[in-house]
Amino acid sequence: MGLDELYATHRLSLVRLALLLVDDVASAEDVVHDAFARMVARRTPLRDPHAALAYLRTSVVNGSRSALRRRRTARAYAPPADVGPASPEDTAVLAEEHRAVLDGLARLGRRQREVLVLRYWSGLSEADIAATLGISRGTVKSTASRALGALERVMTQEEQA
Amino acid sequence: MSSDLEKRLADALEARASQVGPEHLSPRGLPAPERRGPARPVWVGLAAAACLAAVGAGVVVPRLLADPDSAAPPAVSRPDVPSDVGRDWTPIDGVRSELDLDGDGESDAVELRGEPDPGYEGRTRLDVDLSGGGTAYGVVDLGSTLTSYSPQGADLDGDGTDEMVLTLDVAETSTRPLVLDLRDGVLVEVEQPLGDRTPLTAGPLQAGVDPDSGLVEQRVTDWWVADGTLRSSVSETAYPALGMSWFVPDPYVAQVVTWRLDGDVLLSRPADDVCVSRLDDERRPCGPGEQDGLPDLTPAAGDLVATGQTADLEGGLPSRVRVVDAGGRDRVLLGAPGEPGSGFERTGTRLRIFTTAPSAVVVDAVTAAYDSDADDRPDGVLVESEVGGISVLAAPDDDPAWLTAGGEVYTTSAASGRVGLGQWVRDGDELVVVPLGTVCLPDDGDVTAAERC
Repeated sequence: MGLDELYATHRLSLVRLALLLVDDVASAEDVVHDAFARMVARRTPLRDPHAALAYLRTSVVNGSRSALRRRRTARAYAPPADVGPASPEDTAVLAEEHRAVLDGLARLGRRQREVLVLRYWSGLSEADIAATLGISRGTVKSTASRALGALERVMTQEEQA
Repeated sequence: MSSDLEKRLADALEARASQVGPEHLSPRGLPAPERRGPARPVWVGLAAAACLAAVGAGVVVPRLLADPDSAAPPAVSRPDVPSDVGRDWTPIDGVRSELDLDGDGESDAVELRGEPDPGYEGRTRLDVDLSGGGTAYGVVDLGSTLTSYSPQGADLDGDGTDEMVLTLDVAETSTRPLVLDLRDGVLVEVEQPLGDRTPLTAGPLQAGVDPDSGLVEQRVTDWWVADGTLRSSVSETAYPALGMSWFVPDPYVAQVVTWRLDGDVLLSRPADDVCVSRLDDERRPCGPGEQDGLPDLTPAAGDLVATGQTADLEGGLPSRVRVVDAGGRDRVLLGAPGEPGSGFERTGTRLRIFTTAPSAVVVDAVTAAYDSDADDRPDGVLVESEVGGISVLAAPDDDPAWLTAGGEVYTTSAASGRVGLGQWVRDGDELVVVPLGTVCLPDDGDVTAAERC
């Protein structure tokens, strides 16, 4: 699969992944654009489509972290918890039940969010999540477990508030 | 999906993701190739250059690395960070710094404050009391506020003032430097240019999979600040990893780059190789033609116990082995001293047990190496099982093996005129051979004279 085909096939899903991590479409598009730019810059192309997608996925996660870090340092007055689902794509409105879950997700730690997004949206295995995030499978498992517990607690607190 | 929460989470993520469709994407095409900065790790270029140079004098070696100086100076940016952010965050104790941000020859005092966060994943505020007068501050995301690496100073742009270098955890086993430049009283983060993949980390860098052993191979990366300079290195060779073990020779040869600040970005320049000894915790210039070190292949462990004998094993966990005659069969009892030990019977052949434990083969259990054909070479190892009894792990292949006084079992295998050095390691319920590279042996095969080819 050539880069053009890879771009055409996976750009949207990668933007969606980045969106779930950085929470605004413009940043998500930038993150994915940078990820493809890094891949284009490789002198040794990844011919295996699975390896290429894994490379892009990791690049998107790392790029999302950088985007968040830049956002948090350059515009530090905007706390992460206040960044609700932006809606430049106003064609759809999130149901209240979904918003509650996403608000809770936004209050978790960075790694917990990443693990949950990769597990429950990307549908990756523990091994693939471990490879994407550069952590052990055991850490993926324990992080996912703790993240779900934390999400449940946060949502319960919100419902009782 | 095992719970209602998991289903709600998956549904919410899908709903959010589905809000972006193809029609919402900007009409950008595939990015054009990046023009500036080295497009591949420096060590690749260095190796290629060395090969070409060796072909013969008079050959013009093409410049394989992009010349950082040929790039246009990048624009200098300064993010707008409100000065009051994080003033009330929790002070992080134990921070020591020796850096001179204002260039007056005196160290500046640095204070770190961590953003309250139950997971210690908040941001960190940096406050600097400049010795020459005035203050500076910055807000960074170090990944954790739990640990505090003390800031270091390095004059990366040669203007007589230090930049601040912090340590950022990027994975469980890796760090990278986070470089901050002081601009108008604000500490601003600077990074490598987009597309520059020169390693600037400390930790393993996955390089591929060995096709024969199937083991992951990783290069060793490192970075450090010394004499006011930020340097990083990557090992010339990738080394196999298995579980928590990584088989890095000591010393290993690493290629080095120095980093300098040009506007907003960090650019690298090749420097001299170093030979790194992790055992001695030193980096030193490599000697002429110096290669990766070899492990201690000798002395070989030669003492064995046979039928009717008992011995406390040397090395590894405290253990005692006894070989008894059980009616024409050898019965080996292995366990902690003072305990009867688990039994293992072997029919037909006489077993002898090495008095040196193969502690580098099996690191977490009582273990012994056995010789079943009286050639004074190990034919496998016995392992006391957690659930009782003894597990027998047979030799992974027929290559000649020897046990050293240090508890390692090495093997050599000759193929295509090359001698491959390997090391036995337990992998679950079996022994595997971890490849340690090729060596040259004298005609008599004397391993005491082994050297890198």
